[in-house]
Amino acid sequence: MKKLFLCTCNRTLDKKLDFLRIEKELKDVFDSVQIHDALCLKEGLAFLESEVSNEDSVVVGACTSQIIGMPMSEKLKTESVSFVPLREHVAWVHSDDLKGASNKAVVLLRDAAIRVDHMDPPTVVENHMEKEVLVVGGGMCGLKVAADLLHLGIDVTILEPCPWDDTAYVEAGRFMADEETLTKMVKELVSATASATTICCTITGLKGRAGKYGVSLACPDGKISTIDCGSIVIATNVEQKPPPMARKLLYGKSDRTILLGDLATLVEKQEPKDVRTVLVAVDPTHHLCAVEGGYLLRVVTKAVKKGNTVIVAHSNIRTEDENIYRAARESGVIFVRGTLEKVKDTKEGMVCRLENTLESQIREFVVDLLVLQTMTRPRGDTAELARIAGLSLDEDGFITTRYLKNKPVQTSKRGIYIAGNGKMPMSIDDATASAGNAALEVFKDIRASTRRKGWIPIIDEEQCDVCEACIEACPNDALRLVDGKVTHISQHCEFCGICVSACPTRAIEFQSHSKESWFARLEALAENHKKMEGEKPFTFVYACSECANASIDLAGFTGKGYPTGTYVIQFPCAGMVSPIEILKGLTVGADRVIVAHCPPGGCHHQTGDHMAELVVKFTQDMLRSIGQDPERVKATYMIAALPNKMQEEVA
Amino acid sequence: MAKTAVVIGAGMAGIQVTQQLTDLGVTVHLIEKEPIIGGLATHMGRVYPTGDCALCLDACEELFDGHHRRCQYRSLLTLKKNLKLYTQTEIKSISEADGKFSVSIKSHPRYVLLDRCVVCLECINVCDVEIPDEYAIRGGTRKAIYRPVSQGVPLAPLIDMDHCTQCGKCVEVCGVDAINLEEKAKTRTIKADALILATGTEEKIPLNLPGYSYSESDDIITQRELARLIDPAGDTDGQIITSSGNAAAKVTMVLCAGSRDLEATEYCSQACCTYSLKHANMLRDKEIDVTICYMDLRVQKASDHYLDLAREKGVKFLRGKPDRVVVRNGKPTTIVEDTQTQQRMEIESDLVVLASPLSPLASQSEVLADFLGEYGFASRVIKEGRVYACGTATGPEDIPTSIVEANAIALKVYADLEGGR
Ligand SMILES: Cc1cc2nc3c(=O)[nH]c(=O)nc-3n(C[C@H](O)[C@H](O)[C@H](O)COP(=O)(O)OP(=O)(O)OC[C@H]3O[C@@H](n4cnc5c(N)ncnc54)[C@H](O)[C@@H]3O)c2cc1C
Ligand code: SF4
Ligand code: SF4
Ligand code: SF4
Ligand code: SF4
Ligand code: SF4
Repeated sequence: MKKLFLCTCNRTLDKKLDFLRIEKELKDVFDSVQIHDALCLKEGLAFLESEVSNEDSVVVGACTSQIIGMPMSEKLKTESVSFVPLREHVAWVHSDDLKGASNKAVVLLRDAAIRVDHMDPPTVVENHMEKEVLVVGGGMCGLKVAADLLHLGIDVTILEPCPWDDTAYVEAGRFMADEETLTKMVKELVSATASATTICCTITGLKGRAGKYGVSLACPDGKISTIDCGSIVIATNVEQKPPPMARKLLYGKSDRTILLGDLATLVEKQEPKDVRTVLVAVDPTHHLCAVEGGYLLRVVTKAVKKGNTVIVAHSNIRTEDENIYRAARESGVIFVRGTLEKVKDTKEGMVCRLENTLESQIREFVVDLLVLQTMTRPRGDTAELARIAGLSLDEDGFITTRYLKNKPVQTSKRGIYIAGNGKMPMSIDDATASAGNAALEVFKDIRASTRRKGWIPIIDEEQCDVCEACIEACPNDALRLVDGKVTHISQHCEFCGICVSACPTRAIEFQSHSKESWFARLEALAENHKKMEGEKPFTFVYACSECANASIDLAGFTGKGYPTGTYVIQFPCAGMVSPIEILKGLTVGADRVIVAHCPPGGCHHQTGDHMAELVVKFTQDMLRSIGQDPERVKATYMIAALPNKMQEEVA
Repeated sequence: MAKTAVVIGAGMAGIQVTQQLTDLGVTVHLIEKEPIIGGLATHMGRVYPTGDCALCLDACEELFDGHHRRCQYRSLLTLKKNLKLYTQTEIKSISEADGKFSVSIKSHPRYVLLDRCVVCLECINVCDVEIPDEYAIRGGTRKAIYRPVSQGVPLAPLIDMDHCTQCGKCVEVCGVDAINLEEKAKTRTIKADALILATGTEEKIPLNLPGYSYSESDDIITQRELARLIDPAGDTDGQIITSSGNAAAKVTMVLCAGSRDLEATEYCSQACCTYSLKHANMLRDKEIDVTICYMDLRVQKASDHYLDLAREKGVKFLRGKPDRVVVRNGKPTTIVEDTQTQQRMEIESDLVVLASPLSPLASQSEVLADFLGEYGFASRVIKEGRVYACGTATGPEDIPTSIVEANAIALKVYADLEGGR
């Protein structure tokens, strides 16, 4: 039986919506219509539990599914359920238009009735993660990941390019902290990771999937081997590279132009009598980060303490610790603002010409040594590693994470994490925290084999041309070519449907979202709108179920109203919307179709925002070529922090 | 038996460490002094480095397969099985015996029952009391029964008893019996195996900062206050208006206002340069003229593009720390020496925005004083195996850094509680 449950939300929605009329209008599509005053409360949930059997399909017209969807689904014995957010998307935003709001409610509820007809039961995806973990790069951070995991009883293999000893670790981490801290830490970590397997090879290939990766290795003795692991943590190191202005400043030509690390070594070994005058130049084109700033400050302070005269020419000093900056100034380091424009190697010394960009003031310093602040950049083989693992790099060559705000170690691939400096230069505190994050993610993966439920794409082999567009488009590596066929790796799938819009022949259909279902729904939406509202123009908003839907919900919460005749239609991800749904929307009579996605780079499934923009642009071009107004179609982002976005877009 | 942890402070860091620990099977009592969770981020609107919402939580494993992130309002955090959230709650005492902590807390009444309220907002509509809204800058008001911010969690409103007249109108319209005007404060004692401080920071209100005339003019505001002006859900609908109600055309920002200064706040607050840039860019989008007076531009590594963007959009940069900000002809005037040109300038603008330091909240609590170190911040591990801290409680930082720290501490706490191999 098809059942409709309406909620008055403490007898408030029935003031904004004509519930009696709605009930009457919908009698023909539902076998029963029941009205409750608080479906989300204990008594409401119990009511739903008792009223619904596993053979029913259910439409709930209440508040947003983002809030009640999960608790209600737990009580409902059927999986064939559709939610209509009458509160946030209708009553609260059309509060001064009882008739229009009620009409809209009828249209949306009728749509939901069709939607449940096309609903497939969600697919269950189980993933078992092998317990072995491979840590790539055994710097401080790699050691810390390994130590954390070993402590939790998980076997770890550490892969290093060559055997390292304590001094090498300290040396490689020198930019991250002072010697003493590092030495102590390395000692602890080396002993904590004694039970890890350590191998010295390089990665040449990667196969398999999260939970079951196969990594091919080339070893120094010429042997090729593979190891199996459930997850991989990349903890590769960085190198100190000369800045862009190095050549101009005679680096490599004069042995009196050296790098910051060389100065550190010199000062380390310096005899009391060998005092020098040193100018440290920071390249203004290089955004000095806080760790680099800290390293610079530690080195120059030490140099001054050994009796040298040190001038630092810079434009900004960044550091996480104001006190080391203060200490550097107090110890007598001279800080001058400006750019080192020119240097001459003369008998008297290095003549450094400093320019203050704004004033074109010129100052000259004659020094014994010119020291270049280095740029902390990923180790040379990072790019190759990223290529093999299918990860992307930022403009400086660091491996990018999935999402900057709160996915600090997750890469674009399930089961592969990035810890420490391979992502960006980090202080020792940040690096150990980052290692802890990677260990935590790996541990969580292993601890509970996951069981996820959702709709997945179904590939129709007959229709598939094997053009591989979907494989290319899937942001999660969940589609691959196996034996000449496009094959779905469900363990990687995020149920987004981006592959659907990429397929030129629509050989992929997403469960519960088939083309047929869209046609039926959009036609009915238009027809019902016309029935209720006559010639009044209407707009479809195809909104992703994450940020865009949240923004529209929040428009309700903040009372940012907009005209009726706007129908928000939820897609799992805006990247699923193909030109087919957009054009169908227009052909059934919509004035405009707006595709609302997550903010740029902020798609929950990685690329849906980008895909939505592409699809809309493609559709606009199509419209233009047949002499239609491309402005009828638009892509835009919406977020909860901009609850006014919906109002702006549909006004 | 499942281990128990008490997390103090439900800002971004406290929520994150709680979500991770509960996912790992640890029972967490999350204690928050305010009526809603989110801490500083409830003021922020949009944040660097992603440009989207501040009130955005990492999706927890139990409810969302850890899939991605969820807005705070739809995070369903309060539905987590082994999570107990106490809002409007203060810590009365903490004692330690036999390897366990006893944490005594006092929860002040909300007067709205969380398990009854359906968030219909009718009570708010009928309440006649209108008083100044803490989140508003230009005279916006709220009712005696109110929701502090739209994303606020718990979603249910609360009553501000200091202003409620007990008229009973709200009780009358609340057909689901969610309002109890007689509700009393509750005290409880929680036994816990570990304690985590996630007490965060607040933006220091520069009332006593000499030279910057903050208390003399409502057009000299802080970055937090500017964030409220920019928020389209704030009382100005996102319009940048001065105290006299006019649209601001010219804004001067003063960085390090009271920071990196031995006479005021010694440390650098790390995040303010970057969020000032964020705001400057947003103001430029509204075609407002922006000048930033700075000493060093300490942009967070992942947000360098904010600086590039600011230059592109025509934000003006002036290197020099203003001596004074004075009010002249009713307008705030910034007196500053440009250290590049060595010229003394007097910049008249419609608004002056001070980047005031982030100062630790824990130091406001006597009970927590023993756990704190330099400047009132705590170290990540305060007492090995027992007491921890994360987020801005350990030092000023931004949201991504707070999240990383919270995750790392979650693993550490779990490993310490559950023991290793
Ligand atoms: C104007 C401004 C703009 C910003 N912009 C950005 C930005 O764009 N991007 C970014 O990444 N960061 C930004 N930040 C920084 C960001 O807000 C913080 O990094 C982050 O919110 C800190 O989270 P937290 O959990 O550590 O602390 P908080 O958010 O301060 O949370 C601490 C919580 O603990 C509670 N608490 C404190 N003491 C007690 C106690 N004794 N008992 C019970 N509870 C207690 C508090 O009420 C609070 O809810 C900005 C900050 C400001 C001021
Ligand atoms: S694009 Fe999305 S739905 Fe399609 S296979 Fe990839 S993850 Fe799954
Ligand atoms: S709308 Fe904002 S809070 Fe919600 S998921 Fe998107 S970015 Fe996060
Ligand atoms: S307290 Fe009652 S009237 Fe107020 S929002 Fe909750 S349910 Fe509605
Ligand atoms: S009882 Fe208090 S909160 Fe409720 S309506 Fe009256 S004044 Fe407002
Ligand atoms: S982050 Fe910038 S504005 Fe804030 S205290 Fe540090 S230098 Fe000053």
